[in-house]
Amino acid sequence: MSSVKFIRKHKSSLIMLSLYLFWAIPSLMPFTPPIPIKEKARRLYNLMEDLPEDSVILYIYNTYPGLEPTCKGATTAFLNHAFSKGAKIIAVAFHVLGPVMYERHSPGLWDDYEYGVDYVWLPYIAGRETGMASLLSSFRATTTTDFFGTSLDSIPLLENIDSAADIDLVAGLESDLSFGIGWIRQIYTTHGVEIAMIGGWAAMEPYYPDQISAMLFPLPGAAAEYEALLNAPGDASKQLAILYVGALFYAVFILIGGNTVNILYQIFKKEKT
Amino acid sequence: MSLLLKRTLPMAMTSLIAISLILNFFLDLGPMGDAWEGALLSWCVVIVTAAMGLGLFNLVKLHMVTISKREAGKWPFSLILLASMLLMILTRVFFTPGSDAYDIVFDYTYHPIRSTVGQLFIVWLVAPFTRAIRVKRGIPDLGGVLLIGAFALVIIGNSPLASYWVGFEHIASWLLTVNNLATKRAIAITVGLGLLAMGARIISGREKTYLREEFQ
Repeated sequence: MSSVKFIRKHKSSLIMLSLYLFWAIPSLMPFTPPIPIKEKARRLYNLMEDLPEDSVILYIYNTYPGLEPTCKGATTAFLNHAFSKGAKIIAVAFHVLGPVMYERHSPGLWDDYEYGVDYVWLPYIAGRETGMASLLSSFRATTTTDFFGTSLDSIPLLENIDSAADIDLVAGLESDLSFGIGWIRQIYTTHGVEIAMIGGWAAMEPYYPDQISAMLFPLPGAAAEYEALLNAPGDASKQLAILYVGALFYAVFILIGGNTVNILYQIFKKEKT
Repeated sequence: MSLLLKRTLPMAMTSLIAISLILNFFLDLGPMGDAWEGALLSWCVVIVTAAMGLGLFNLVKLHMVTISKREAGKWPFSLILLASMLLMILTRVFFTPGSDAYDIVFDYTYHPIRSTVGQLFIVWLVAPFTRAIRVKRGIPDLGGVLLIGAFALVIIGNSPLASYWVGFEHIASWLLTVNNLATKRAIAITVGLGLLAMGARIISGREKTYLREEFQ
């Protein structure tokens, strides 16, 4: 079999193999690519720097473990920054797998702070957008206990907190395209509370920067920029080398593989026939 | 009586509840309006939670029937599904994060599978772009060239590769915030108008697709 025939027969396998080889480079030869800090990361950083001390942040975990490689670094960097500014964090999930992520993010994040004083985990609230509307109207009318089954009334942090009026900023991760717009409707439009999306979707771009005050996007690149601003390299920065070679592969693959080779091949084929 | 209970009453309830919520939002009906809205929201959360329990019950029932009937080509998978579900529930109930059993089931089995599927989905999304260009009579299709050219520039502009030339970032930003954003805004406005029209149809009783077919 000639080499051309071999390539034609196994082209999908060869593309996948070359992709894995590209991804293996940063593992075999670790390197730190340059981190250009862009406008979105800087805007979120400035928003957090300007936040008054003892601000209350509602952090929404509408995500699932499949997205962990992209969202963990961003969450850790953002929340550690918030804690360092003296903010109090209330975590909640409107995605059924959100609470799993609380536990997975504990080392290096939640474990370093005091439960009930610095932060609280609320349980999964069903109903998606309706659940969000209900919680922001009244925490206690929506759930009487936290994630561990402790009464909300016995948690010091929640002593004077019961609705959107007591929240200074809503931030968090959203993996659902259709529900993302629900944030605008239920948080900004109804209660006028500022929104900071960590990750989110390109589809949220029409609402940025008017209804969404800051947006850390795309991940993990933007999260690495945020870590660079904090001068605290973490999970996102470690992933940057993979992102670097991955972007290079896609660009080369599309420009060379998709354009040039395809065009030359089809022109050549046309002339031959 | 049946028609009253199964068509007229649900439609009247839908309209009245929707109108009361709209009036409370725009006119602020005071503590009574807020209490009514709060109660409705709480009921909705309770109903959705109960529906999830009902879904779990239905899932177990459906697969139990498949297993008991030994349906060819189906029952082994139903058995695996129920056994896996039971294993996940028991592991979460009896073991805490950090314990060996929890780590094996969640950290070393479930999460890698979800992550792998998630990342392969991205590769699957990218693959069709490489086939976007078609050549007719030796001339490449301009739309395809523009599409994948823009795609490559946005990838480069949002990656660390952009640090080598500031123009990459500016081009990617222009593509996203001018060309792409205009289209997305148009779609968002159109969807919003469509939702408004659908809401008006439901409130006025013209939209009945949420009822069973024989009562529409």
